Amino acid sequence: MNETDTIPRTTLGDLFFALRVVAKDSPTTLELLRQHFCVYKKYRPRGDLLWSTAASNTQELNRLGLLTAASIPKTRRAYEQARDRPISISDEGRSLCKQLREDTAKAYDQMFALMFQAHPYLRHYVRAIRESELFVPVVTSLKDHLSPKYVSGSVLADDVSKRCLDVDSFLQKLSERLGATGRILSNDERQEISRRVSRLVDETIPAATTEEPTEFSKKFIAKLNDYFLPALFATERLSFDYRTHQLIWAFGQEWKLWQSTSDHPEFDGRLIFPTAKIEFLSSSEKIEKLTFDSGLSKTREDFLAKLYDAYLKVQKITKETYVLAWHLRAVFCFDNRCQETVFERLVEEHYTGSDDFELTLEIQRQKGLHDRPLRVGKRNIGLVRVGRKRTSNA
Amino acid sequence: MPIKLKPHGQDIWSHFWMLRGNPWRQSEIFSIDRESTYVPEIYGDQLSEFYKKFALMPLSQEKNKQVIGAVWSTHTGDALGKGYGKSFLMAQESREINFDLGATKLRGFGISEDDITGNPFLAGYCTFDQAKDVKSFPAALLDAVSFILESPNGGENVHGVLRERIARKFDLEEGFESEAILSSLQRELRKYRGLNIQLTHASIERFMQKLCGDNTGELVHFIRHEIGPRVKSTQGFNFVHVFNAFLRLSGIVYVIYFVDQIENFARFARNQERDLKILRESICQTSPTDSMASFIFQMHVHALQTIEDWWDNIEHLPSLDPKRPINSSRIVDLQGLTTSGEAEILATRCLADNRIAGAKPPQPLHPFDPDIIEAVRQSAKGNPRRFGEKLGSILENAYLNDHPKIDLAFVTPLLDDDADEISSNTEEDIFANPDR
Repeated sequence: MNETDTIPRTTLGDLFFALRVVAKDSPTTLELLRQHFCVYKKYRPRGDLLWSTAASNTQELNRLGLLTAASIPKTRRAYEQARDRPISISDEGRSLCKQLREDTAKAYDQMFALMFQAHPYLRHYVRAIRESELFVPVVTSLKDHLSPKYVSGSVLADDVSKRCLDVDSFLQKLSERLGATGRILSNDERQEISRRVSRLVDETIPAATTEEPTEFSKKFIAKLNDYFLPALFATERLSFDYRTHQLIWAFGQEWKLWQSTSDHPEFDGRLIFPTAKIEFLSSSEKIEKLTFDSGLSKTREDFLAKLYDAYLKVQKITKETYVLAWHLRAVFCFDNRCQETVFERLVEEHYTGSDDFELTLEIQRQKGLHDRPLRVGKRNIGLVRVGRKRTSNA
Repeated sequence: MPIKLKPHGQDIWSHFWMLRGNPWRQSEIFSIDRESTYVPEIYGDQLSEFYKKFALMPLSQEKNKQVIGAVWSTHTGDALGKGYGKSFLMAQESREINFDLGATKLRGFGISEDDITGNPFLAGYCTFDQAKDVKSFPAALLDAVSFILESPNGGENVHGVLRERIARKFDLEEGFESEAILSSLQRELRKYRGLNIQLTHASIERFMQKLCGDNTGELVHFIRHEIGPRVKSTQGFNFVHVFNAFLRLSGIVYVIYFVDQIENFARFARNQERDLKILRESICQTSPTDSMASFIFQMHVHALQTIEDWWDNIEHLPSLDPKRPINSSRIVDLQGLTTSGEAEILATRCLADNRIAGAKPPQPLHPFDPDIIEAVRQSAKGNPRRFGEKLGSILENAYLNDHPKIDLAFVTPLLDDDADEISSNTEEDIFANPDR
């Protein structure tokens, strides 16, 4: 992949917030925008706190043609010089801001179309996800994802310092994890991953000998994802760093176009699947149509019956009567291609069950290993049981 | 007529800000004599809780309507819990209740007209106040009696309305009502066997005569200035019992006494144990007070610390500790400005009350905007008093610096001495992408 891109390290919420601030008082300054961000994020607006938030959001909006800014600082020192330079809203920005107030959903769709045009990485991602779901074998555990011998950070640090990381075990585990999706790791991919991991080991030898082992292992895992994931997604042209993957996952959820989860019990990693149809001409950079065909109303149809199916599936895997709420959520959302927010709203609507189905929710009592808890009725739900009533004819 | 400052200064207030003056005082502490902007919306759900616990629930009881409860502010953002609008809530809602004997309030909760007519009620506000020599419970409650009697009701005051109701009830002859009401009141008082009042006591006798007479001004003057502190202290509850009997005679079924600054009792009282014993006997064991009168105390952490030793431990008065879940049916805990929406309503209302005539500001918060209001709310940690004081100071600073445009850049340094951590806003982002 020759072309490069920078996906902004922000959220759509922040982008729209910045747009609203600039539209309200245009022309304004970066410093004023920074102060507004401090209030928005509930910090005291002292010094230059959140200068980079103001700068990165301005840069992205500038790139999308929604506002005009002379120069956007990349360093704290440059910010000091650029803080009072004017930022003005463009006609397109004003119109999008109006749209946000009148029809928020449409404004998000428009923002997607603009960012799709502006960001090649995003286009590659959409092309890939339009074909099928993506499975990302993110490394989060030394023992489970790297090698069973790494029971502690000190064993890893010791191996790295001796330049003898257990790469074979890592590749073996990677193959097993990918196997759940039917994907086979090619020899080229194996070689490329080994090469990249060796490079990482070379680079981290000094840290392995000096840093505290637990701290070192955390950093090593984060870097490992950055090093090996691009090799794994080269064919889909998604060979960008792990952080960019994470940003795109989050953007997709804000757009309600795709959902990412690491809670699916059948996959040991992160699963990203589309939740809407995205239509565009393959030669073009322009979005033709977005169809949210698995939104609230569609998913609401026979919701409890679909939930029961998902429950049986999880129950078959875990062999438990009460299944983990986040497992059930992930399986349901993946099978029905819907957003987790849709699932949560529908559970809230149906928590009393129906004539045919009985829903039992148990409050979460222990900390769970999940992306985020399932919230129903302002409580974290830990366990769920879905039952079909005996009187049901179905 | 206030002095006129340099011309441009006047321009800033009236021309740029469209204000007659600063809507906020430097120390916005409640005063019964001052007209201040009252914004009940800032109390959020606690306002209906206030009515449910202190009015609806008692009124739904046939015999025992008494509640001994508290209005609290346990807010963690302010260790003292002062400035959350407790006094304002108690006094202002008392005034509004008294205006039509609680009818509008009950109507707001969907109570039927028949029930409203059959359940008129009143509320009084009082505070321990050293400057006014209100240092004991009886003296404070007597002050609440004055508050009720003077409260406007329709075109007149509550005292006049109560007399009219008694006159109508007993079909009294015009021009001779006072004497007839007095004898009815004496008859009513004799009904209560536990009420041991010396009706021939000079002050009690005069109080009863004036209470049954038609001159409210004289009655209130007598209560405030002619009953000496010693008589107030020794006979004070008897005045309250007489007044409650008078209310019952007029068909009033329930009365709420709101008692402010209770911690001052501990400071002022010379013989706390004796005073508390009398308090308990008077409010819990003496008719008609024990069945028709509620006593709601204003509380904050400091007040609880001051009274907790003797309140429930020695005298077995109902606990007012908000940490005990069992007490929640008798306690309302004010939360302050928990959302930017509440802060905006408060600021808008205060500004509107101080706009120059005919002003058409570009937006209701002018010269502020929602972000400034939110910054100030956060800096004040949701404390309504601090919030108002800060907005007032911002206007004064802008005026003194000839700075008509008030933006975050100007406001931020003024809020700079406040803590880093700020209160949480539970409002959802209204511009989040909705589920399709």
